[in-house]
Amino acid sequence: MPRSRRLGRSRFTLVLLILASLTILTLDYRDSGPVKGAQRAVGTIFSPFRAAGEWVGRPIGDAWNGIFGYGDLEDENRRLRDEIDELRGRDLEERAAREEVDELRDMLDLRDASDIEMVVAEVISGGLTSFETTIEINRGSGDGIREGMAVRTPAGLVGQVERVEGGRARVRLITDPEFAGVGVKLVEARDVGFATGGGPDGTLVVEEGITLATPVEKGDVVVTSGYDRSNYPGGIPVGTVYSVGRTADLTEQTLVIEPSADLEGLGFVAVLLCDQDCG
Amino acid sequence: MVPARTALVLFVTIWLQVVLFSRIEVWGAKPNVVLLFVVVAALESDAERGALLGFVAGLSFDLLLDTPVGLSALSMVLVGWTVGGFKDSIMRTSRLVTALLVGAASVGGTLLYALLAVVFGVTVDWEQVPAIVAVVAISNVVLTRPHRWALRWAFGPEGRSPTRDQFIFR
Repeated sequence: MPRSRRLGRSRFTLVLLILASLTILTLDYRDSGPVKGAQRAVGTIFSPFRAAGEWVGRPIGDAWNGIFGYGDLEDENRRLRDEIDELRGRDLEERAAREEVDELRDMLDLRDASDIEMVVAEVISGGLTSFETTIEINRGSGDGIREGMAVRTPAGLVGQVERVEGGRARVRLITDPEFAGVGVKLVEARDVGFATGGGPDGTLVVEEGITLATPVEKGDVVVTSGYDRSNYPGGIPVGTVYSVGRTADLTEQTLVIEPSADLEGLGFVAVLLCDQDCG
Repeated sequence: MVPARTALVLFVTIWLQVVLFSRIEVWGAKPNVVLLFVVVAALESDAERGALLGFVAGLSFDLLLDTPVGLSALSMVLVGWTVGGFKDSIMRTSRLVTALLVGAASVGGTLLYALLAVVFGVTVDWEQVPAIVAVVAISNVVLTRPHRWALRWAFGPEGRSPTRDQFIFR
Protein backbone atom coordinates (compact mmCIF):
# COMPACT_ATOMS: atom_id res chain seq x y z
CA MET A 1 0.00 0.00 0.00
CA PRO A 2 1.44 3.46 -0.88
CA ARG A 3 2.69 5.45 2.09
CA SER A 4 0.25 8.35 1.63
CA ARG A 5 -2.74 5.97 1.56
CA ARG A 6 -1.46 4.17 4.64
CA LEU A 7 -1.11 7.49 6.45
CA GLY A 8 -4.63 8.52 5.46
CA ARG A 9 -6.04 5.25 6.71
CA SER A 10 -4.14 5.45 10.00
CA ARG A 11 -5.45 9.00 10.54
CA PHE A 12 -8.99 7.79 9.94
CA THR A 13 -8.45 4.96 12.46
CA LEU A 14 -6.98 7.45 14.95
CA VAL A 15 -10.03 9.73 14.74
CA LEU A 16 -12.40 6.77 15.14
CA LEU A 17 -10.55 5.49 18.20
CA ILE A 18 -10.41 8.94 19.81
CA LEU A 19 -14.17 9.29 19.30
CA ALA A 20 -14.73 5.81 20.75
CA SER A 21 -12.62 6.69 23.82
CA LEU A 22 -14.50 9.97 24.32
CA THR A 23 -17.84 8.16 24.02
CA ILE A 24 -16.80 5.65 26.69
CA LEU A 25 -15.56 8.47 28.93
CA THR A 26 -18.92 10.23 28.55
CA LEU A 27 -20.84 7.05 29.35
CA ASP A 28 -18.69 6.49 32.43
CA TYR A 29 -19.08 10.12 33.51
CA ARG A 30 -22.86 9.65 33.42
CA ASP A 31 -22.55 6.52 35.56
CA SER A 32 -23.93 4.47 32.72
CA GLY A 33 -24.94 0.88 33.50
CA PRO A 34 -23.01 -0.86 30.69
CA VAL A 35 -19.66 0.66 31.69
CA LYS A 36 -20.09 -0.14 35.38
CA GLY A 37 -21.35 -3.61 34.46
CA ALA A 38 -18.32 -4.22 32.24
CA GLN A 39 -16.02 -3.03 35.02
CA ARG A 40 -17.64 -5.38 37.50
CA ALA A 41 -17.54 -8.31 35.05
CA VAL A 42 -13.89 -7.79 34.11
CA GLY A 43 -12.93 -7.39 37.78
CA THR A 44 -14.69 -10.62 38.69
CA ILE A 45 -13.21 -12.58 35.76
CA PHE A 46 -9.72 -11.24 36.51
CA SER A 47 -10.03 -11.90 40.25
CA PRO A 48 -8.85 -15.57 40.29
CA PHE A 49 -5.83 -14.71 38.11
CA ARG A 50 -4.91 -11.96 40.55
CA ALA A 51 -5.24 -14.31 43.49
CA ALA A 52 -3.00 -16.84 41.76
CA GLY A 53 -0.39 -14.19 40.97
CA GLU A 54 -0.37 -12.64 44.39
CA TRP A 55 1.52 -15.40 46.15
CA VAL A 56 4.43 -14.54 43.86
CA GLY A 57 3.92 -10.79 43.48
CA ARG A 58 3.34 -9.96 47.13
CA PRO A 59 6.58 -11.30 48.61
CA ILE A 60 8.57 -9.69 45.79
CA GLY A 61 6.82 -6.34 46.31
CA ASP A 62 7.22 -6.57 50.10
CA ALA A 63 10.91 -7.46 49.76
CA TRP A 64 11.50 -4.59 47.33
CA ASN A 65 9.76 -2.05 49.55
CA GLY A 66 11.49 -3.50 52.63
CA ILE A 67 14.93 -3.04 51.07
CA PHE A 68 14.38 0.36 49.50
CA GLY A 69 12.17 1.73 52.26
CA TYR A 70 14.36 0.58 55.19
CA GLY A 71 15.17 4.13 56.37
CA ASP A 72 11.52 5.10 56.34
CA LEU A 73 10.61 1.95 58.26
CA GLU A 74 13.12 2.78 61.00
CA ASP A 75 11.72 6.30 61.36
CA GLU A 76 8.18 4.97 61.40
CA ASN A 77 9.08 2.39 64.02
CA ARG A 78 10.50 5.09 66.30
CA ARG A 79 7.44 7.30 65.80
CA LEU A 80 5.07 4.42 66.51
CA ARG A 81 6.87 3.53 69.78
CA ASP A 82 6.41 7.11 70.97
CA GLU A 83 2.76 7.00 69.99
CA ILE A 84 2.19 3.71 71.84
CA ASP A 85 3.58 5.21 75.05
CA GLU A 86 1.30 8.21 74.74
CA LEU A 87 -1.74 6.09 73.90
CA ARG A 88 -1.19 3.74 76.87
CA GLY A 89 -1.58 6.69 79.20
CA ARG A 90 -4.61 8.04 77.40
CA ASP A 91 -6.24 4.60 77.27
CA LEU A 92 -6.28 4.33 81.07
CA GLU A 93 -7.91 7.75 81.36
CA GLU A 94 -10.54 6.97 78.77
CA ARG A 95 -11.50 3.51 80.01
CA ALA A 96 -13.39 4.88 82.98
CA ALA A 97 -15.21 7.48 80.88
CA ARG A 98 -16.13 4.80 78.33
CA GLU A 99 -17.74 2.63 80.98
CA GLU A 100 -19.91 5.52 82.08
CA VAL A 101 -20.94 6.28 78.50
CA ASP A 102 -21.81 2.61 77.88
CA GLU A 103 -23.97 2.54 80.96
CA LEU A 104 -25.83 5.68 79.86
CA ARG A 105 -26.29 4.28 76.32
CA ASP A 106 -27.75 1.08 77.72
CA MET A 107 -30.12 3.04 79.90
CA LEU A 108 -31.26 5.22 76.98
CA ASP A 109 -31.20 2.33 74.45
CA LEU A 110 -28.95 4.26 72.05
CA ARG A 111 -26.99 2.64 69.20
CA ASP A 112 -23.41 3.53 68.23
CA ALA A 113 -20.78 2.34 65.75
CA SER A 114 -19.55 -0.42 68.05
CA ASP A 115 -22.99 -2.13 67.92
CA ILE A 116 -22.84 -2.59 64.16
CA GLU A 117 -21.68 -5.88 62.71
CA MET A 118 -18.26 -5.65 61.07
CA VAL A 119 -16.08 -7.70 58.75
CA VAL A 120 -12.32 -7.45 59.22
CA ALA A 121 -10.39 -7.35 55.96
CA GLU A 122 -6.74 -7.21 54.98
CA VAL A 123 -5.50 -4.44 52.72
CA ILE A 124 -3.95 -6.35 49.83
CA SER A 125 -2.90 -3.58 47.51
CA GLY A 126 -2.90 0.11 46.83
CA GLY A 127 -3.64 1.69 43.47
CA LEU A 128 -2.64 -0.19 40.32
CA THR A 129 -0.90 2.89 38.94
CA SER A 130 0.66 6.00 40.47
CA PHE A 131 -2.48 7.98 39.64
CA GLU A 132 -4.88 5.77 41.61
CA THR A 133 -5.64 6.49 45.25
CA THR A 134 -7.98 3.65 46.22
CA ILE A 135 -6.97 0.58 48.24
CA GLU A 136 -8.07 -3.02 47.77
CA ILE A 137 -9.26 -5.35 50.55
CA ASN A 138 -9.56 -9.14 50.53
CA ARG A 139 -13.30 -9.32 51.32
CA GLY A 140 -16.15 -8.97 48.86
CA SER A 141 -19.79 -9.63 48.15
CA GLY A 142 -19.69 -13.12 49.71
CA ASP A 143 -18.85 -11.52 53.07
CA GLY A 144 -21.84 -9.18 52.90
CA ILE A 145 -19.89 -6.18 51.65
CA ARG A 146 -21.74 -3.78 49.38
CA GLU A 147 -20.91 -0.49 47.71
CA GLY A 148 -21.20 2.55 49.98
CA MET A 149 -20.36 0.80 53.26
CA ALA A 150 -18.08 2.60 55.72
CA VAL A 151 -14.56 1.33 56.39
CA ARG A 152 -12.64 2.08 59.57
CA THR A 153 -9.78 1.09 61.82
CA PRO A 154 -9.80 1.34 65.62
CA ALA A 155 -8.17 4.77 65.15
CA GLY A 156 -10.93 6.16 62.95
CA LEU A 157 -12.74 6.40 59.64
CA VAL A 158 -10.78 5.21 56.59
CA GLY A 159 -13.17 5.49 53.65
CA GLN A 160 -16.08 4.01 51.76
CA VAL A 161 -16.45 0.85 49.66
CA GLU A 162 -16.34 2.01 46.05
CA ARG A 163 -16.60 -1.23 44.10
CA VAL A 164 -17.13 -4.92 44.97
CA GLU A 165 -15.64 -7.60 42.72
CA GLY A 166 -16.29 -11.16 43.88
CA GLY A 167 -13.98 -11.83 46.80
CA ARG A 168 -12.49 -8.33 46.97
CA ALA A 169 -13.50 -4.72 47.18
CA ARG A 170 -11.95 -1.35 46.45
CA VAL A 171 -12.15 1.39 49.06
CA ARG A 172 -11.97 5.12 48.39
CA LEU A 173 -10.10 6.92 51.17
CA ILE A 174 -11.68 9.86 53.00
CA THR A 175 -8.85 12.15 51.90
CA ASP A 176 -9.51 11.50 48.20
CA PRO A 177 -11.15 14.52 46.50
CA GLU A 178 -13.55 12.09 44.80
CA PHE A 179 -14.72 10.76 48.18
CA ALA A 180 -18.46 11.50 48.48
CA GLY A 181 -18.09 13.26 51.83
CA VAL A 182 -19.19 12.61 55.39
CA GLY A 183 -21.23 14.48 57.98
CA VAL A 184 -18.95 15.41 60.89
CA LYS A 185 -19.35 16.81 64.38
CA LEU A 186 -16.98 18.82 66.57
CA VAL A 187 -16.94 16.94 69.87
CA GLU A 188 -16.28 19.97 72.13
CA ALA A 189 -18.33 22.61 70.28
CA ARG A 190 -21.14 20.17 69.24
CA ASP A 191 -21.48 21.94 65.85
CA VAL A 192 -21.91 19.81 62.71
CA GLY A 193 -20.54 20.21 59.17
CA PHE A 194 -19.83 18.31 56.00
CA ALA A 195 -16.28 17.08 55.25
CA THR A 196 -14.83 16.20 51.85
CA GLY A 197 -11.43 14.89 50.72
CA GLY A 198 -8.64 17.44 50.77
CA GLY A 199 -6.47 15.81 48.13
CA PRO A 200 -2.79 14.92 47.92
CA ASP A 201 -1.87 16.54 51.24
CA GLY A 202 -3.82 13.79 53.05
CA THR A 203 -6.41 15.91 54.86
CA LEU A 204 -10.18 16.48 54.90
CA VAL A 205 -11.81 19.86 54.45
CA VAL A 206 -15.03 21.16 56.05
CA GLU A 207 -16.38 24.04 54.00
CA GLU A 208 -19.99 24.13 55.14
CA GLY A 209 -21.90 23.94 58.38
CA ILE A 210 -19.53 25.45 60.95
CA THR A 211 -20.87 28.86 61.95
CA LEU A 212 -18.65 31.82 62.83
CA ALA A 213 -19.91 31.70 66.42
CA THR A 214 -18.61 28.16 66.96
CA PRO A 215 -15.41 28.12 69.04
CA VAL A 216 -12.89 25.90 67.21
CA GLU A 217 -9.21 25.39 67.93
CA LYS A 218 -6.40 23.40 66.44
CA GLY A 219 -6.45 19.90 67.92
CA ASP A 220 -10.24 19.73 68.49
CA VAL A 221 -11.58 16.22 67.93
CA VAL A 222 -13.92 15.54 64.99
CA VAL A 223 -16.22 12.48 64.74
CA THR A 224 -18.90 11.36 62.30
CA SER A 225 -22.22 13.06 63.00
CA GLY A 226 -24.43 10.15 61.89
CA TYR A 227 -26.55 12.49 59.76
CA ASP A 228 -26.20 15.29 57.16
CA ARG A 229 -26.10 13.32 53.84
CA SER A 230 -24.15 10.61 55.58
CA ASN A 231 -24.78 6.86 55.80
CA TYR A 232 -22.15 6.44 58.49
CA PRO A 233 -23.07 5.80 62.11
CA GLY A 234 -22.28 8.61 64.51
CA GLY A 235 -19.29 8.70 66.81
CA ILE A 236 -16.57 7.25 64.56
CA PRO A 237 -13.38 9.31 65.04
CA VAL A 238 -12.50 11.21 61.88
CA GLY A 239 -9.52 13.26 63.02
CA THR A 240 -8.40 16.46 64.66
CA VAL A 241 -8.65 20.06 63.48
CA TYR A 242 -5.37 21.10 61.85
CA SER A 243 -6.26 24.65 60.86
CA VAL A 244 -9.25 27.00 60.88
CA GLY A 245 -10.19 29.54 58.19
CA ARG A 246 -13.19 31.28 56.69
CA THR A 247 -15.27 30.64 53.59
CA ALA A 248 -14.91 33.07 50.65
CA ASP A 249 -18.16 34.85 51.56
CA LEU A 250 -17.01 35.09 55.21
CA THR A 251 -20.26 33.57 56.51
CA GLU A 252 -18.87 30.29 57.88
CA GLN A 253 -15.65 28.73 59.12
CA THR A 254 -13.59 26.26 57.10
CA LEU A 255 -11.63 23.51 58.81
CA VAL A 256 -8.75 21.36 57.65
CA ILE A 257 -8.86 18.01 59.44
CA GLU A 258 -5.96 15.64 59.90
CA PRO A 259 -7.31 12.04 59.82
CA SER A 260 -6.88 10.02 63.00
CA ALA A 261 -6.41 6.75 61.07
CA ASP A 262 -2.98 6.28 59.48
CA LEU A 263 -4.05 6.04 55.85
CA GLU A 264 -0.50 5.52 54.57
CA GLY A 265 0.23 2.30 56.40
CA LEU A 266 -3.08 0.43 56.47
CA GLY A 267 -2.77 -3.29 57.20
CA PHE A 268 -6.22 -4.37 58.36
CA VAL A 269 -9.52 -2.51 58.29
CA ALA A 270 -13.10 -3.22 59.35
CA VAL A 271 -16.09 -2.81 57.04
CA LEU A 272 -19.32 -1.81 58.83
CA LEU A 273 -22.05 -4.08 57.46
CA CYS A 274 -24.76 -1.46 57.14
CA ASP A 275 -25.57 1.07 54.47
CA GLN A 276 -28.95 2.79 54.68
CA ASP A 277 -29.70 1.69 58.28
CA CYS A 278 -26.48 2.97 59.86
CA GLY A 279 -27.62 6.09 61.60
CA MET B 1 -3.21 -16.58 15.35
CA VAL B 2 -1.71 -13.09 15.54
CA PRO B 3 -4.68 -11.58 17.45
CA ALA B 4 -4.77 -14.51 19.88
CA ARG B 5 -1.03 -14.33 20.59
CA THR B 6 -1.18 -10.53 20.95
CA ALA B 7 -4.13 -10.83 23.34
CA LEU B 8 -2.15 -13.34 25.42
CA VAL B 9 0.85 -10.99 25.66
CA LEU B 10 -1.50 -8.12 26.62
CA PHE B 11 -3.20 -10.26 29.26
CA VAL B 12 0.14 -11.27 30.79
CA THR B 13 1.31 -7.63 30.71
CA ILE B 14 -1.78 -6.40 32.57
CA TRP B 15 -1.55 -9.32 34.99
CA LEU B 16 2.09 -8.46 35.76
CA GLN B 17 1.18 -4.81 36.26
CA VAL B 18 -1.58 -5.76 38.71
CA VAL B 19 0.14 -8.48 40.75
CA LEU B 20 3.76 -7.32 40.62
CA PHE B 21 4.56 -3.84 39.31
CA SER B 22 1.73 -2.12 41.22
CA ARG B 23 3.49 -3.26 44.42
CA ILE B 24 6.91 -1.92 43.52
CA GLU B 25 7.42 1.70 44.51
CA VAL B 26 10.42 3.91 43.89
CA TRP B 27 10.22 7.52 45.15
CA GLY B 28 6.52 6.82 45.75
CA ALA B 29 5.89 6.01 42.07
CA LYS B 30 5.07 2.75 40.27
CA PRO B 31 6.10 1.40 36.84
CA ASN B 32 3.50 1.19 34.08
CA VAL B 33 4.18 -1.75 31.78
CA VAL B 34 0.82 -1.44 30.00
CA LEU B 35 2.15 1.78 28.48
CA LEU B 36 5.31 -0.13 27.53
CA PHE B 37 3.17 -2.72 25.73
CA VAL B 38 1.62 0.02 23.59
CA VAL B 39 4.97 1.70 22.81
CA VAL B 40 6.67 -1.55 21.83
CA ALA B 41 3.63 -2.74 19.85
CA ALA B 42 3.75 0.51 17.88
CA LEU B 43 7.49 0.11 17.35
CA GLU B 44 7.01 -3.42 16.08
CA SER B 45 4.13 -2.55 13.75
CA ASP B 46 2.89 0.82 12.47
CA ALA B 47 0.84 3.88 13.45
CA GLU B 48 -2.54 2.30 12.70
CA ARG B 49 -1.92 -0.89 14.63
CA GLY B 50 -0.18 1.11 17.39
CA ALA B 51 -3.35 3.19 17.84
CA LEU B 52 -5.61 0.12 17.74
CA LEU B 53 -3.54 -1.80 20.29
CA GLY B 54 -3.31 1.37 22.39
CA PHE B 55 -7.10 1.50 22.49
CA VAL B 56 -7.52 -2.19 23.38
CA ALA B 57 -4.75 -2.17 26.00
CA GLY B 58 -5.90 1.12 27.52
CA LEU B 59 -9.55 0.12 27.68
CA SER B 60 -8.75 -3.32 29.17
CA PHE B 61 -6.62 -1.65 31.84
CA ASP B 62 -9.22 1.08 32.45
CA LEU B 63 -11.78 -1.56 33.39
CA LEU B 64 -9.59 -2.54 36.34
CA LEU B 65 -8.88 1.01 37.51
CA ASP B 66 -10.90 3.53 39.49
CA THR B 67 -9.98 6.45 37.27
CA PRO B 68 -12.53 7.31 34.52
CA VAL B 69 -13.00 4.47 32.02
CA GLY B 70 -11.62 5.53 28.63
CA LEU B 71 -8.86 7.76 30.02
CA SER B 72 -6.01 5.26 29.52
CA ALA B 73 -7.57 4.23 26.19
CA LEU B 74 -7.54 7.83 24.93
CA SER B 75 -3.97 8.54 26.03
CA MET B 76 -2.65 5.20 24.75
CA VAL B 77 -4.35 5.61 21.34
CA LEU B 78 -2.43 8.87 20.92
CA VAL B 79 0.83 7.33 22.20
CA GLY B 80 0.51 4.26 19.92
CA TRP B 81 -0.29 6.33 16.85
CA THR B 82 2.48 8.88 17.51
CA VAL B 83 5.18 6.29 18.21
CA GLY B 84 4.14 4.15 15.21
CA GLY B 85 4.11 7.16 12.89
CA PHE B 86 7.35 8.62 14.24
CA LYS B 87 9.25 5.37 13.92
CA ASP B 88 7.74 4.67 10.51
CA SER B 89 8.86 7.91 8.92
CA ILE B 90 12.06 8.96 10.61
CA MET B 91 14.50 6.28 11.51
CA ARG B 92 16.13 2.94 11.38
CA THR B 93 15.82 1.03 14.63
CA SER B 94 18.87 0.41 16.75
CA ARG B 95 19.12 -0.44 20.42
CA LEU B 96 20.01 3.12 21.44
CA VAL B 97 17.31 4.71 19.28
CA THR B 98 14.75 2.21 20.58
CA ALA B 99 15.73 2.97 24.19
CA LEU B 100 15.50 6.71 23.58
CA LEU B 101 12.18 6.36 21.83
CA VAL B 102 10.72 4.14 24.58
CA GLY B 103 11.96 6.61 27.22
CA ALA B 104 10.57 9.64 25.39
CA ALA B 105 7.25 7.91 24.65
CA SER B 106 6.93 6.88 28.32
CA VAL B 107 7.57 10.45 29.47
CA GLY B 108 5.12 11.82 26.89
CA GLY B 109 2.49 9.15 27.58
CA THR B 110 2.61 9.67 31.35
CA LEU B 111 2.40 13.48 31.06
CA LEU B 112 -0.43 13.17 28.54
CA TYR B 113 -2.31 10.87 30.91
CA ALA B 114 -1.81 13.32 33.80
CA LEU B 115 -3.08 16.24 31.68
CA LEU B 116 -6.11 14.30 30.43
CA ALA B 117 -6.79 13.15 33.99
CA VAL B 118 -7.00 16.78 35.13
CA VAL B 119 -9.32 17.61 32.21
CA PHE B 120 -11.62 14.74 33.20
CA GLY B 121 -11.74 15.72 36.86
CA VAL B 122 -9.12 13.46 38.45
CA THR B 123 -6.95 15.12 41.08
CA VAL B 124 -3.27 14.83 40.21
CA ASP B 125 -0.49 15.48 42.69
CA TRP B 126 1.81 17.52 40.42
CA GLU B 127 4.64 17.46 42.96
CA GLN B 128 4.71 13.68 42.51
CA VAL B 129 4.51 13.73 38.69
CA PRO B 130 8.29 14.14 38.02
CA ALA B 131 8.97 11.00 40.10
CA ILE B 132 6.18 9.09 38.30
CA VAL B 133 7.50 10.15 34.88
CA ALA B 134 11.08 9.17 35.80
CA VAL B 135 10.12 5.78 37.26
CA VAL B 136 7.85 4.88 34.31
CA ALA B 137 10.47 5.94 31.73
CA ILE B 138 13.41 4.15 33.39
CA SER B 139 11.51 0.94 34.12
CA ASN B 140 10.09 0.86 30.59
CA VAL B 141 13.54 1.28 29.01
CA VAL B 142 14.89 -1.54 31.23
CA LEU B 143 11.97 -3.85 30.36
CA THR B 144 11.91 -3.10 26.63
CA ARG B 145 13.85 -6.17 25.49
CA PRO B 146 11.69 -8.90 27.02
CA HIS B 147 8.63 -7.04 25.81
CA ARG B 148 10.00 -6.83 22.27
CA TRP B 149 10.68 -10.56 22.27
CA ALA B 150 7.15 -11.28 23.45
CA LEU B 151 5.55 -9.01 20.88
CA ARG B 152 7.77 -10.24 18.03
CA TRP B 153 6.62 -13.73 18.92
CA ALA B 154 3.00 -12.52 19.02
CA PHE B 155 3.15 -10.71 15.69
CA GLY B 156 5.15 -13.46 13.99
CA PRO B 157 6.57 -12.93 10.50
CA GLU B 158 3.08 -12.25 9.06
CA GLY B 159 2.11 -9.63 11.62
CA ARG B 160 5.23 -7.54 11.56
CA SER B 161 5.39 -4.21 9.80
CA PRO B 162 6.94 -4.55 6.34
CA THR B 163 8.81 -1.34 7.04
CA ARG B 164 10.47 -2.45 10.26
CA ASP B 165 14.26 -2.06 10.27
CA GLN B 166 14.28 -0.58 6.81
CA PHE B 167 14.56 3.12 7.40
CA ILE B 168 17.56 5.33 7.81
CA PHE B 169 17.71 8.80 9.34
CA ARG B 170 16.56 11.34 6.83
